[in-house]
Amino acid sequence: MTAAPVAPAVGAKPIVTRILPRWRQHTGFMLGFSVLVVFALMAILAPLLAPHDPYAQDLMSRMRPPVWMDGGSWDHPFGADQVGRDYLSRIFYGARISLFVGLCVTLLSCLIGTTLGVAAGYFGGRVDTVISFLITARLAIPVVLVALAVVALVGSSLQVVIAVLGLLLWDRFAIVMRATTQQIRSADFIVAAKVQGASHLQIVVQEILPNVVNNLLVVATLEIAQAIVLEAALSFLGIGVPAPTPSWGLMIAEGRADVFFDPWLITIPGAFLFVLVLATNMTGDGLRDLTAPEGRNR
Amino acid sequence: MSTADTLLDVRGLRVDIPTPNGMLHAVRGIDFDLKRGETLCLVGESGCGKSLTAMALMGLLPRKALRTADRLEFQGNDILSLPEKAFNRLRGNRMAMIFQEPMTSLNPALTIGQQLVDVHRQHRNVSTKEARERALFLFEKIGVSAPVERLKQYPHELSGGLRQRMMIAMALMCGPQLLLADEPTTALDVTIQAELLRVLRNLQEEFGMGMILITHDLGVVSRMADKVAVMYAGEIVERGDVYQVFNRPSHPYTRGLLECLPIPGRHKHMAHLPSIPGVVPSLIGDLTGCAFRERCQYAEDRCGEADIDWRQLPDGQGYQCILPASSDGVASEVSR
Amino acid sequence: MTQSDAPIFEVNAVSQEYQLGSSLFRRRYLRAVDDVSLQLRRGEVLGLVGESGCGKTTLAKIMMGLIQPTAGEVRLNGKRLADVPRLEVASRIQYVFQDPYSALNPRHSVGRIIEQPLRIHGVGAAADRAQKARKLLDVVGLPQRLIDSPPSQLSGGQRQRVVIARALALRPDILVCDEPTSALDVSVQSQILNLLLDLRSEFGLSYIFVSHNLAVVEHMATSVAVMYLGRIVEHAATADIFGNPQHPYTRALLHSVLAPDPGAGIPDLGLGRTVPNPAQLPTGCRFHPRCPVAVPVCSTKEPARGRGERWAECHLVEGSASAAA
Repeated sequence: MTAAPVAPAVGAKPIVTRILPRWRQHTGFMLGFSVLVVFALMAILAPLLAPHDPYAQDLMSRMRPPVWMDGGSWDHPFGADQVGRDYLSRIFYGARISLFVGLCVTLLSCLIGTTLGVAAGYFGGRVDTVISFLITARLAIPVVLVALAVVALVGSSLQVVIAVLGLLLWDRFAIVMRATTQQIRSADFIVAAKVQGASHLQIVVQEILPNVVNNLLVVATLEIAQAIVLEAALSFLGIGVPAPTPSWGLMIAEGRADVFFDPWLITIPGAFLFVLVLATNMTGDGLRDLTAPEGRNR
Repeated sequence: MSTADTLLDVRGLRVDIPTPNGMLHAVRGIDFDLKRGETLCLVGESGCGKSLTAMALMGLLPRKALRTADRLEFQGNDILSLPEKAFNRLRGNRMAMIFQEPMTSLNPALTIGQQLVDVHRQHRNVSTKEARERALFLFEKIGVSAPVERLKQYPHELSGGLRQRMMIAMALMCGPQLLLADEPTTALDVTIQAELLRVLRNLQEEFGMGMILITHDLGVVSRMADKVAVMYAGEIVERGDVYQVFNRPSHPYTRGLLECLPIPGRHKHMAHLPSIPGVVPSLIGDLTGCAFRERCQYAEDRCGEADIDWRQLPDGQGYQCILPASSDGVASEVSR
Repeated sequence: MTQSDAPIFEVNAVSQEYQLGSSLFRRRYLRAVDDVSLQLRRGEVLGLVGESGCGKTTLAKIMMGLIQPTAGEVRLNGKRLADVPRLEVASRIQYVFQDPYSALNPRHSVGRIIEQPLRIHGVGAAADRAQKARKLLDVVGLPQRLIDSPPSQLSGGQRQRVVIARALALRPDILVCDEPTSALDVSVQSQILNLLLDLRSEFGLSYIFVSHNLAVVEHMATSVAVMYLGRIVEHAATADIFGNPQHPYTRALLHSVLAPDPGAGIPDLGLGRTVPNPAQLPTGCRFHPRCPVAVPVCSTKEPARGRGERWAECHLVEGSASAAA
């Protein structure tokens, strides 16, 4: 899809102002979204918030437990890891990695999935058959195995993780976009655009996309959560973000050896990962609830 | 004034629906009654509350809707405070309903025969064979071709007109005393509509049912009704027997509705048709005075100041307006 | 209103077949439109009447160039529609939809919807287009304040006015109106019909007016084509169709019009119980299974095809080619 100009809808209220009065009443959404905002701030402001350089090793502080345990100190509120790096700082910087990967992967897969899904739903027929087969084929590919193979070939880096996940996680976008496009493709306002002589691209960009953007947002949120989990999993397996980058998955992997004596090495990044993914999913579910009944406001 | 003949007696029926913007007063205190063997047509435009009135009578309102009434009696028994279980015994049995879209009211997973037998056995202690015989008997009356095969068919295998006939058969399985028909022919073609209306009329006469026919089509009303109630914005604004209402429409809304229909021979070809300007008022919150005054060419200041009294004419016709009843001279011109 | 003689729009022997799924040995076709010819002259209003499944919507879509007919051709100002560029077709012939709820994009404002055709055709700058949209609101009798409203805040009648304004934006010659008032309340219906009549005299429009409501067609049309199972079974000037209907189907349709007339009862149309099925056309005359006056020849021989200004495709009609034979 080329970047045809999407003119702003004059007057027709954007999605945000339409759901604003109602989202205050949706506890799940408010909770999830607030947590998400906190995490985002944490990631953006990491250089200001972090008490230490996340890469600086300090052998004197090796395996220093968190402040609430015996031997902990306020110098390292979450303790320090096996080579004495400040755990809190690494958590802050880890949020950057998680969110960055989540957003980039989602952007990439959204682009692929939406293009395929809208094309399948809009054109139908043979195009739909081919794209449906692509979706089915994609669902048969195990993400982790492909990632392993790719890393074995080109080595691991942040870019590789984003590329591999982005190129593999578009299926949900494609499925949802195909279904929603099919629903509105026969609406009279699409026929009206055809009667006015609109091209396929004009119809898709000006008539269809404004009507599916709600669903797109919901899927994107859920997809971010999935990408974050997968990044952590890949990093844990050693095929994701390479050390010493502060990724939560990597931190869990590094704490694996000491899990019996110092379980906090795993539970702290684990808890952050859990909360971030939960919050993202709650935001996505909330968005779905909030946009669904008005989605077809007729 | 209920007599032994009275099937349905409704006084001050209200339906209120809470919305985020306030209480929506969808039906605002309506009165009517229906005798055995009589047809009452509720007529009005979309949003006037006619369908909700039927739902209220059948106890089928959406869950959050509130139904209140001064009196709601079916065959002399109060059905307002009837518990759900007792109502279930009434519904589909002594009172039945036909909807506009038969496809949504028939179960797509069961054959027509199964559905007809089920509804009968639910209310009557009969064998499957007896129920099937009853269904075939009704098919004969309704004019269903190839009746035995129909029993084995699924709803999607039937045409729209046949489906609606099946709905009628289903409604009549238990021999109801009251039949509510909500726009039963609106979704059908004109030639099929005429057939079905004839069927409904014949059945009603044969079984002596009371019928409430809900429609927006004044032509249908004029030919089906004994009594007519014209609804506007949740109220009955005019009521009377069919000749009175059509020959002497006295509420400006009734008159407007009749005038703006294109009728062969009345209007000059391609000339402007009369119309009713404006839109229906919002029913959220309180409404003082006449709900029609914003669209009424005769409106005066006092129309908005206080609620309008009901004017009852000696012959039974009544309407809710400050104007005197229209003379027969005007009326005959209106109804051609 | 002057009617020049050359038709501005012609439908010549158009057919549309759909394949209903094929097995190895047998293919079944549905003939939605069967060898239909029609003409429209400037200023005319051609009423197209028929029941659901008769093919009138398919025919309307063929006229708009939305469907390529399997046979025959449509001509616009003498040129084959298939050869006319897409944008030029759009600026000559436009469509008014039956359901004004589905016809407007719920995500756009009224102003944006009305100027959409101008945008697609690249007419004028943004300010010009907004100016034109405001003028069109005036033309269809909508208040200016609605320009920024989404369709959800409009009533059915207001929405239909927006649909009409959008159709007029490119100043077309022809409007195909597909049941333009059947989704509207009676009190609104007459407003929309009045508007269409005004627009016709103001802009010299011609209409193809598709409807099942004969009372409306009688009021609006200059000539009427009655369609049954894919064919135009009767065609005549409006006064002739309604004053002196020839085809038994036309007569039944006229009988089925229920004008307010208390005590008149429901007429018996005599059409029987057979339901027309476009997938299984009867032999001979396609109306004979329902025809109250059918004679033996009707089930074996198809009536001669109608041509010219007035025809009725029925064996029993005096002057029809088959009655003379």
